[in-house]
Amino acid sequence: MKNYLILILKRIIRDFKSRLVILLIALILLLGTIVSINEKTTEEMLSKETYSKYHNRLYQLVKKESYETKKKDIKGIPHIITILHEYNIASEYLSSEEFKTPNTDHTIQAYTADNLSLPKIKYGTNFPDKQGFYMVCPINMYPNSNLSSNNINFKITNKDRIDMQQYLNKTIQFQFENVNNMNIKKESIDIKIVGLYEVNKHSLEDNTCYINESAKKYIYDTLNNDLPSYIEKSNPEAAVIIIDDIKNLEEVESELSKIGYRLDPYTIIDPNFLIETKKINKTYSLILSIICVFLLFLILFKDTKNTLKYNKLLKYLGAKDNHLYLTNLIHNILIILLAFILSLILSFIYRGLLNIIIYFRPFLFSKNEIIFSITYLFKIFITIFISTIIISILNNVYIKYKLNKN
Amino acid sequence: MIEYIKTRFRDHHKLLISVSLLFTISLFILIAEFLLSYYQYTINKTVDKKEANRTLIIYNVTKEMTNQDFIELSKIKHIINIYEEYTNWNLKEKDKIFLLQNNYNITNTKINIGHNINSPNEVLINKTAANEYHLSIDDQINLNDKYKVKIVGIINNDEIPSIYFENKALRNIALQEQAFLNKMNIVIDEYQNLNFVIKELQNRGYEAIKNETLDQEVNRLEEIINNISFGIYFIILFTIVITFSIFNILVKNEIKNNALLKLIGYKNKNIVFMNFIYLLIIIIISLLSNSVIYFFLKLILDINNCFTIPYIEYLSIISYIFLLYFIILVIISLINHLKLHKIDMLNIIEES
Amino acid sequence: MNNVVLKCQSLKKTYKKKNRKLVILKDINYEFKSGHVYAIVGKSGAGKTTLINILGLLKKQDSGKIFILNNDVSKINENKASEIRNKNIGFVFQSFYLDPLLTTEENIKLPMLLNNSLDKIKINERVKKLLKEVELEDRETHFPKELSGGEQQRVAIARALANNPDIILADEPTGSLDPENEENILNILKSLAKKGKCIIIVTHSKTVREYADIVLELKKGILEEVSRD
Repeated sequence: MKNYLILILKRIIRDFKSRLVILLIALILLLGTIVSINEKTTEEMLSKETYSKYHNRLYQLVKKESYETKKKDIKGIPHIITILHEYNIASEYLSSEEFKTPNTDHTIQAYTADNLSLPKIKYGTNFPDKQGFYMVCPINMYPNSNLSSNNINFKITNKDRIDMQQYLNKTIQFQFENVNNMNIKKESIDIKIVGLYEVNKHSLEDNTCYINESAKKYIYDTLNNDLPSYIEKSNPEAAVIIIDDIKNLEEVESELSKIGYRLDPYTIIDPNFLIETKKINKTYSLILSIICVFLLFLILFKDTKNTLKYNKLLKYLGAKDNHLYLTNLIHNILIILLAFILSLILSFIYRGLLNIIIYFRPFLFSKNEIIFSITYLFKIFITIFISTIIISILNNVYIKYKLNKN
Repeated sequence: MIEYIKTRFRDHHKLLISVSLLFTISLFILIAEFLLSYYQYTINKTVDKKEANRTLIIYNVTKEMTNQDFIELSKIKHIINIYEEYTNWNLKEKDKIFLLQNNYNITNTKINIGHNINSPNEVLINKTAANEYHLSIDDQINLNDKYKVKIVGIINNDEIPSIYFENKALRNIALQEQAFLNKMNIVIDEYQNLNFVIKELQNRGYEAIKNETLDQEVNRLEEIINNISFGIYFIILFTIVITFSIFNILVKNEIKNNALLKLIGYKNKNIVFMNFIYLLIIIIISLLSNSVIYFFLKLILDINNCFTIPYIEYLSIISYIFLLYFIILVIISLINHLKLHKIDMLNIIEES
Repeated sequence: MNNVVLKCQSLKKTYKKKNRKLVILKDINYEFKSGHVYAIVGKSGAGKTTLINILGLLKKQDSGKIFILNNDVSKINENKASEIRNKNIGFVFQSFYLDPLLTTEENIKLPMLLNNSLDKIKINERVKKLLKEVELEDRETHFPKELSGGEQQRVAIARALANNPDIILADEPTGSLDPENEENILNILKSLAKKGKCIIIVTHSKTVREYADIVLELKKGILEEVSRD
């Protein structure tokens, strides 16, 4: 039996028509792969766009009630993580000589949070109840004020990161700038690092730390006490809520409107756009993948005439019917296998080429990596495999019919 | 020659496979193109969703507006609505002073008690006015001894005592009172028509400005979509490569017959021409089937909102696919022509 | 030698097309013996190819019986028929019908691979032996397109002999060959008959008639022995 299989394989490789078919199938598999790469990469990009900005989940709560009243009113509404005073929204830049690394300006971005809105703490604790200034940092912090870069090859190297575990429970003195009437005054604040969190892979938050409300209030008051009178202070009744996920926005909006509140987004882009675009992309990618499988069907069906001729010969030589069907099936499976291996190689080449092209055209796909999903390849392989078996069965039925006719 | 071409269509199996292949590829390209246009459609839909994005604001109207002026303005193409604000104007009933306001952005959720305005002599008042002046639903007020109105709703709003009119009624009062026009909001149908309307307004002496965040939003959205579209362009490019291969195979299938024809005495260019016509007819059949299925689906499916693709765009995409196929066919035929000079006729025929 | 290897009894075959009935084989009765070369002649369209297909168990007769090595194979199923074809019958065709993608050696091996009872070493040995018999030892790795007509037919005969069948069915085996090659092939077939095989050749050729031991004419659906001239 082994010898017979080897013979089938030899026939496939020697036949230039079969080689063309293998190449064509490999190209179609590659097309399917490219569709999937595109879908995955786009999804990553849209997820990053959706989740990277802290602001995407922030909404200003509009109604003329005081901050405290608003806090009471929204209790019990699902999907709202917490409510913060508006002045907590802007981030502060805090720097410290402790966090010096070769290519950074040892400055972090500090957002305000409370224990409800803090990310999941991996080491250490949440903000303690007792009074004081506390901070939660990323485990491997990148202490640079500017995180995003237009250079798509920009990657944070390990030597620019700081393993914050060594600073856990330590109190660090941070400086912040007070810019007033062209004078820059350096103020300082002592904050204790109580916890460390793992940065969300979608977000650009490697330089983001979270400080508690009292720390923020201290900074805010320090800065605002020097403000000239004509610069308005933040509206004392303005409040901002944080929603857990953008897709829950509609639900939250309807719940709040029942009690008379309106939401004003902080983002420029309507987050629904991102969600909708993801859905469209997924749907169309699925349709395109189905068409790819259909193409494969056609290519394999094309060979029927030659198969018929060969089957006639084998019948003369005494091959049983089952033998014929098995031969045809193995023939198709071998073709698919060879095409699949070829398409794997081509996929890697494609990915390499794409990265080179993108390197020279940095504004395309900007900071996003090309996502090459191996699981997709195996998924498609299983689909193709099953399709091949189905096609072979159909083919065999057709051939049986034709042979009996003659 | 025509007779020979006719005989080629007797091979039903080959015909079916060839047409199906080209049909499928055209379907693939079509859907990729639809995806691209749908992205653009999504941007437009998203931007247009916010009325603020479709609104032009005219401050400092230099001339005094008459009813005729408003009618002229409404006639400008793409303008859906015009809302004015006369926010520094008051109306009185005895000692009750009301700030004159437009109800255009009062949605039902903002109305605490009662309902929204349904007719010109109905008004809304805010909570402050209701409390201070002890007014409630169904009360009648006589403003400036001229305007008799009925309160139909109270808005949950703690600003200065205000009274809200529906836009047309407000305009009439303002014209009669010669109220000072603070701001005009011009709402148009699609944000893409903003520039056109701005020009038209300029021609009539109005300075209109867009919402300040509009450009930022559009640019950001387009940046995202451009990035995504890049991937799709690549896919289409790759599909063209595959189309090339398919045409190559289809032409190579004819080698044996071509060798036979050459043996009989046909000239190279005639052979190539006959192959070309045969494949051209196959292309036309496959694209026609595509069109037939498309229109058939359009009739059956309820393709609103989600899949509404204009008729004209479909035709243009199909024409572009036809052109693509045509060019590839021409290139492959030329290559075929060159190869025909070299083939070993007898060898090919004997190899059956 | 001289055993009955293939016997047909009252074979009948009719073709139906629309409303017309075409009787191809009316009443075929014959006993083919080992060690003989039979030539079946007849006009074009007489049904010679149909007869070969029925004898080779590729087509089912309408009525009548066939015995191969005294076993009634008239009503056996497809699988059994294939087995018998593989082990007891060898085919040779006018257009050689070799697989263009396989070498000489592989073409000859093909029937043996369908027969599971042989192991690899025995197969290779047998192939070498068969190549020697048809005098093509130096053409082992050649493809059919690299061989002449005569050489290709010799490969086909070697293939037909792969599983050492008792019966060789040949449909115009020399139809595509020049006189010298024709003689060559017929000599090979004659020597096979001497070794005990039953050779049945369907032919138009006068030369084949002269080589055959017995000539049968298929006329109006009946098989009759005729003289060799």
